[in-house]
Amino acid sequence: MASIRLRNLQKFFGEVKAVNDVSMEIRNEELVVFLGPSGCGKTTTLRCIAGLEKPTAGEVYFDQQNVTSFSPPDRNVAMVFQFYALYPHLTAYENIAFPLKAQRVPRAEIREKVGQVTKLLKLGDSIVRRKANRLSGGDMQRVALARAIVREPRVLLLDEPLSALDEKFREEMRSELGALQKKIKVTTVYVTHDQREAMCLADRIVVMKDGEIIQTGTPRELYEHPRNLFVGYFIGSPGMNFIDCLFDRNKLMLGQDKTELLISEGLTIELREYQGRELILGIRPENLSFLLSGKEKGVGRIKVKVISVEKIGHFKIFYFYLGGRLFKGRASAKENIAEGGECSVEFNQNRICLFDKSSQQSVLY
Amino acid sequence: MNKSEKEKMNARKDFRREILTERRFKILFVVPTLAILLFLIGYPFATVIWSGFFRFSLLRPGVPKFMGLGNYQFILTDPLTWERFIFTAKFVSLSVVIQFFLGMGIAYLLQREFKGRGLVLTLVMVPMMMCPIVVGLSWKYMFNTQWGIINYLLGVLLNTGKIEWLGNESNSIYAAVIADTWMWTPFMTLLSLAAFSAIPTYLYEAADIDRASAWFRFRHITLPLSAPILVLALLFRLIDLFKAFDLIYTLTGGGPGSTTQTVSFDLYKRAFQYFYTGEASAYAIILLVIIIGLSTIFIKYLTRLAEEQK
Repeated sequence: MASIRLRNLQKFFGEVKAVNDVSMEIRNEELVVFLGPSGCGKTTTLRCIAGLEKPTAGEVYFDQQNVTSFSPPDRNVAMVFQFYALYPHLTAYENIAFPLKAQRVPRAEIREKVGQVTKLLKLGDSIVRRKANRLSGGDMQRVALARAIVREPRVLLLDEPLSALDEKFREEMRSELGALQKKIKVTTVYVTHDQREAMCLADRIVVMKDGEIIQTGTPRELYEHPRNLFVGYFIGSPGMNFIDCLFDRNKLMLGQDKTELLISEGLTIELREYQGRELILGIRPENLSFLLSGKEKGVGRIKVKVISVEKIGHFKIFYFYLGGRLFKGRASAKENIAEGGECSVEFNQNRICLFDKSSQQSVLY
Repeated sequence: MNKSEKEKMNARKDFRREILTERRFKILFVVPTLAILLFLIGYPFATVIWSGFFRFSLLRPGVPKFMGLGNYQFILTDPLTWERFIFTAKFVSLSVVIQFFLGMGIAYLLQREFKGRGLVLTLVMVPMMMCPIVVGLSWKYMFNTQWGIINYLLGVLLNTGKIEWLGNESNSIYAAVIADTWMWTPFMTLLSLAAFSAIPTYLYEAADIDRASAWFRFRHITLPLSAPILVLALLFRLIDLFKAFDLIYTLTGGGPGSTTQTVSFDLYKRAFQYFYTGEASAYAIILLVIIIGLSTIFIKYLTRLAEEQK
């Protein structure tokens, strides 16, 4: 096991800056998720850690050791590739045994170790004996994982390991993967574009965009205090509501029609430097509470007309227009919300996010 | 529309529906090809089988004498035939093994990107594109004992004496193997390259991550995954070498004596120098059976490999 440190890592492919000046530290035994849309440089960063790409500039450290010039075999990392990259001509057993065989581990020891991981990953005998290319997607995934952890690597790298699985199975594997990582305590870097995966698994999430780190933090930090419009937009489902606004003394003027929203004293103090500045307000659906019609007076409250209601399990999503933008709010399923009816909505003052319109950076905290 | 026009239309419809049915239409396409094939392959083949049972010569007209299996018996009991077979076996196996390993080795080196790779590839392929007669003649001059460049170079570099490449019984087989290897190794290289490049890069990346050495990677990934194509290339070379004639004809002329005569060379002599047409036909059938036998073994192996990798 090892900690990982990236120092000013850069990787350019011709003119394209795939990774642009990434610095960060991953602690020993931590599970860090690199999250971002495709093309954000998260996989390239991972491949630089693995040694499969040679960085254009910058360094990679494992513990205190500079491994930048090391080839993948010398780094002793394990990796699960997006499409598993199992050896198609070998059986599942031979695939798992491959890294041990390559290191000339005695046969009896190989058998024992493979036995251990197959048990850990619940790979039955009939699966283990099968050719790799005859396995189902989920089993391929398990075999790839088994191959990765069979030899106690310093670092475990996972490149979108669940993206090739179908929805139902993905959730199952996700929780198994999380439990497994905690059990074997290996420093893990996990790359995904699926924010839900990131939220469920990560000790810390690194949000990337255009080759740069946008924000690093625990899932909760990122969810509640996005430092940037992009993070707020990318994390959470259903997504954050956004609307242009102007700050004026003790209220925000929302949207084109300047709908007034009174804000709390605390928020007013925080925003004092932004008098008259163009901002973007972001608020998550669950921080918009549903109130009955007629309760629209007061801080953070506003009168709206409900357009439609969706019932999703134990809660409801209600849609309404505000300042020319469609908003989503979340309410308990017990709430009796009439489509087309009027109601009041309260903005949770502690959960309002405000971003500068030009820089898109958060103006709070 | 008058009546006669209507009748014409109907007639055309009938023609389509009843005379030129789909089935007949298909047959119409196949028949010319089949006729040409029968004429060019079927007829000569039948003639060869037929002639194999008779004693006759194209040069001496007259009634062929029926021999039954006499020709076959004569050929297979003739010790000279066995000498030809033994030489052929030596020549084929030596050449095939050398070309296989050499070709694969060159392909392995040419796999990775480097400057001028395209040019090197083209140059490597040149010998294969030459006419075997020319190759045979060129090597004949190069192997010349007195003034050939091979002896000159060997003399300069290794200080060897004048080696009698073509005039000495035990050396001439090597001369033949060298010339054939020079010409046909590129073929093995070409097919090995194709086989190697069909292996996806991510498998090598996975092997790299799994800390496999270059040899381990080659042994456990490259070789098994390219095996079907390599076996196929081997089969091609084997059959081709078994038929080797033109290169040897110009290089050694079958000599010294008759020591470098391959079976096909022998066949040529019986058929077109002595004009023992009946005997040569039987000989040809024997060779055909051997080649079919060899191919069958290889193809069986090949299908098994393909099955395994499915």
